[in-house]
Amino acid sequence: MRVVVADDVMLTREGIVRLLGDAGIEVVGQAEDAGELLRLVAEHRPDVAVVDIRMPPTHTDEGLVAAVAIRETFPDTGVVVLSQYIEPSYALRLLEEHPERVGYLLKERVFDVAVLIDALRRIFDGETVIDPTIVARLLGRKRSGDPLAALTAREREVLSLVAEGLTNRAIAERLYVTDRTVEAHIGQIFGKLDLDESPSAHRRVLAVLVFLRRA
Amino acid sequence: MADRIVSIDRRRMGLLVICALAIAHALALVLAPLRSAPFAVYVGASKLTILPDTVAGIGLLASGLLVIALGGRGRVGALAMVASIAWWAPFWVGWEGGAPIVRSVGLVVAPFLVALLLDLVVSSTAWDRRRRPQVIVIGTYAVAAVASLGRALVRDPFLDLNCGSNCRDNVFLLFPDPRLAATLNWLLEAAGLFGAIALMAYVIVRLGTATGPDRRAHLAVLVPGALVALAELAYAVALFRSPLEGADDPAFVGVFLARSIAITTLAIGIGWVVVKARMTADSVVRLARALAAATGPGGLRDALARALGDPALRVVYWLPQTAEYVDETGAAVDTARLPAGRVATPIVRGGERIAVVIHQSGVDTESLTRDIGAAARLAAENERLQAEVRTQIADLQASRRRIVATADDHRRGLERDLHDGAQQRLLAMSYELRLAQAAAERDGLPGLAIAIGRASGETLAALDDLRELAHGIFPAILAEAGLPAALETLADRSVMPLQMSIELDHRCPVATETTAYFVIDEAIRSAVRRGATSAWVGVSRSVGLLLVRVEDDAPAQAEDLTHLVDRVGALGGRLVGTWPPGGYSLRAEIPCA
Repeated sequence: MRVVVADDVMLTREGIVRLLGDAGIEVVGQAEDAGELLRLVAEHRPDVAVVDIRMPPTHTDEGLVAAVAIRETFPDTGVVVLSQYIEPSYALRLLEEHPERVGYLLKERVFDVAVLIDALRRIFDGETVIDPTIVARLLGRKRSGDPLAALTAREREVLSLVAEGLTNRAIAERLYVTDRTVEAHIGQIFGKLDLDESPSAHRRVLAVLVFLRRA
Repeated sequence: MADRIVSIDRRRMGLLVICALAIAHALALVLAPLRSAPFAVYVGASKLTILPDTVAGIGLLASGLLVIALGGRGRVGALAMVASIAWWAPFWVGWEGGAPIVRSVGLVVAPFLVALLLDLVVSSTAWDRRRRPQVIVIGTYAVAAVASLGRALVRDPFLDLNCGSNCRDNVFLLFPDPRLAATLNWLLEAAGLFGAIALMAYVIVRLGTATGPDRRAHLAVLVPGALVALAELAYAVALFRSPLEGADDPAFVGVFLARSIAITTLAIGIGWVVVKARMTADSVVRLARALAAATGPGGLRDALARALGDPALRVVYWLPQTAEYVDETGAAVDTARLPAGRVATPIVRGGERIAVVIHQSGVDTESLTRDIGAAARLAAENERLQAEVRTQIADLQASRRRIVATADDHRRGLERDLHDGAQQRLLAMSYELRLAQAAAERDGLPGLAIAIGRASGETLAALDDLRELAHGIFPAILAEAGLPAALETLADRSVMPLQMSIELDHRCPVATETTAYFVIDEAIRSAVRRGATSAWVGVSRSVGLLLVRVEDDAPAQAEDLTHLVDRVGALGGRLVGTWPPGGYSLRAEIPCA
């Protein structure tokens, strides 16, 4: 797998590069701002770009904007957006247009290289990756008349994994059950929450996240 | 005059009649053949007396008319005119070959002169302690009336030794009684003397007890009044000494001249006082009107623009503290650089320049400065002070806004520093530790690997804490994605259920959204502290305003929200808390352009 890393803080960038290198992943380019990132992507056509959300000049959401641009212009290049903020809003913005091949991870999660590699691989496979902390935050929102109260504990677990972007197969592996069981659970959940069960995994991530926000 | 005739009442009618009578009387004098009275009247005897006699009478008539025309006290005007009739009455008495009725009426009317003059002086020097003089005036009238009318009834001119050769007619003669007639005659002379003394006494007392402006105002009447008193006194004394009033006697002529002159000065004095009072009233009315017109900001500007016919006229006021000119809204104006064809004329008050009028060239600035007048200067000073206050208020408001904005910027800076500084370092540390842990595992040092793993755990915990801290200082998403996104995050993190109703299609300025966020954040914290179980947040837009409402169901008393009031007030908004049944409601309106 070929990867480009973009982060304006050298310390973090080099840390990530070393982690990836250690895991045997080829880093074909390093960028310090969105412009350079887009140039490198255009030049090297990596499989995935690892992008910090906050970059010059305004240090607000350049990374997010660049991620959306990359998905738009280079459909074969996935993007993982790294952020220090637990902000579901950013994740939703990322997913809105092109939910496949994108991921939103907390930077600190990346220290566990396995997590990063796993995310990269999933994105390479065309899936969506949402940091569990984001999902937990959304699930943990206090609601009066909680619509999630109708779900069982297991169903909540499945729901959170769906929100993280895992495929049915991945969920089954995580919970040590069969694919069939997972499908049944999902059917139940979506029925209880009155959500349209969309065939594509990415669309359903968006649906669940939006639902969790609105509820 | 037209509306006077239309709205007739009895008083006006009476005045009108008196006016007509007096004027008719004066005209009749001119027309009547008087040549046939060679020495029965002073005018016939001595050419010297023609002018003073005429002038005195005309003076009384004219001042009476003036008083009435200027809307002064009708009584004074009427008295002056009736006095002119009494002054000229001796003409009819001395009219050789004239109609007897006229001569007889003249004889009855003439003695009233002193009483009339006394009344005139008393009436035109309005005094609060009028009771006593009034009594004396009435008394003088009464004596004159009784004596004059009585004399008319009993005096037979033929039998009167003190009457002149042409003294023939008395149509009122009822029964001749020379002794009674003589007594009544004496009474009349005594009344004249007494009246003169009373007038003198009044003048002295009035002048003596009056102070400053009161005395000055009435001096013009009281001094002539004293002269009249002296002249009438002389006349009375002369009559007592020589009852036969001879027109060829120089002493009598002299007295007559004195009387004429005194009465003329009195007439002038009365006219002067009335005109002066009217002028003062007029200028006060003008001033009051000018001040009333120039109350609002720009009132003076509008008045001047109208007066000069220059709609683009501007008035700018000098603020000494900031050494600049400002217009009526408090905005600074550069008077050194004016548009083409416009010039600046200063308004000066007390030697100091207080304002400048910017108008079209071609207006004579000297006459403009003069014509602006005291009222305009006063209005200009007033508006200048208002402009000063408005400038200060604007400065204060701007300062408040800046203070809040600076504090918010500082917070954002802190958050950014944390993000870019300590948080990054901890992240880097966590990566290093991870690598070290992997290396330890590879090198077969499980104990070390575990220890490093624990250190990693602490690092992550520290990162969590820092993230919370940074978010509390300033939620980065507020600046980056705006109020709706920040409020969603607020709801994510809230410890109690929040219902949100956010209707915000247009963004508001950063300061407004930041303040709205902190108001909502604090309101929710307060609700939690007070034991609320749920809250509702509403954000919507009204005309030029962002409306924020937070309602909770906490039963306890609301807390002190002064800092929120200040924050909202700094942007020119309002914050109000109320207690609808079952909870607490906070409502804020923040200007949103």
